[in-house]
Amino acid sequence: MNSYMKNKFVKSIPSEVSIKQTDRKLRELICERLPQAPEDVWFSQKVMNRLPEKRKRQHMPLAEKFCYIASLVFLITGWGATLINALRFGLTPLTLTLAAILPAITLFCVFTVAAPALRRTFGGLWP
Amino acid sequence: MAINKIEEMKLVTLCMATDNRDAFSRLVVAYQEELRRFILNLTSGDGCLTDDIAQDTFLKAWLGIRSFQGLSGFRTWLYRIAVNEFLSYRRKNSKAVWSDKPLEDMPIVSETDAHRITDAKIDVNTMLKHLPDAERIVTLLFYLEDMPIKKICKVTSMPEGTVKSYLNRARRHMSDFLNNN
Repeated sequence: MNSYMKNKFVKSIPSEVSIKQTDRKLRELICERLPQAPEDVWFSQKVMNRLPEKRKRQHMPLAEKFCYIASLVFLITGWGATLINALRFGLTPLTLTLAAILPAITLFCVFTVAAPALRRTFGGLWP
Repeated sequence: MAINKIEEMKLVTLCMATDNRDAFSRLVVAYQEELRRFILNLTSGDGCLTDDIAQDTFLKAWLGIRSFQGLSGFRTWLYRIAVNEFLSYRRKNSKAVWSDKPLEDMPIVSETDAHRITDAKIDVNTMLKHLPDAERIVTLLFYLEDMPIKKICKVTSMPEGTVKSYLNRARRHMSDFLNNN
């Protein structure tokens, strides 16, 4: 690119300062001079009147409920039995095996069932 | 009636979890004024159309509130629905009398016409009316709603470069218009 073209190109690019000044002026002009929406005291009432009737919540099927409860009972029983075994017989291969398996099952249940269920309930607000 | 972020989150959660209409009504009251102003200027001052689009926007927000991810803020999400509603209206009524001509093609106001455009409000309205839809949307979000570019990207679903390019073009068109008038 020769120097003439280069100068012409550089001159054609508006500087950051001039863009900011133009932005400031345009913002003032637009904010001051564009009309406000006419006040409508009934607007929110009109919107509320158009809302459909209460949404029907989807009920969980009975079988699904049973599975959740059974899993919970299994987990509680498993943890209880492991603790009792550990207290009564000390560290045996059985208690060690259970102590390794149960946290894995619990974590699996939490991440695959409990967390998605909570996320579904609380939507995007659930972290 | 402005509400803070925590209050907004509380109201949105109530709407999501319990279908609380009172909470939604408070959100409508909080956002209706600025949203209606935005839509009014988007539709070049058509009051009836503004009310229709604004009502549809809130209706869609209520129906889809469970799909709201909470990542971009309720206001941004609401504006996104409003812009989509406006664009969908424009697609349905593409034969309606709207000027999508860029400002270069606009007739320059002659001295005899000048007396009709004495009010500066009309000037700004005319200036915006002749911007293409995308430029007008970006202009209003940037100058009127004071949204940063990143939020405008979320509202319009456009990449940052595209938003900046539209904004730049709109800036040039508006400057030309104001210099010519």
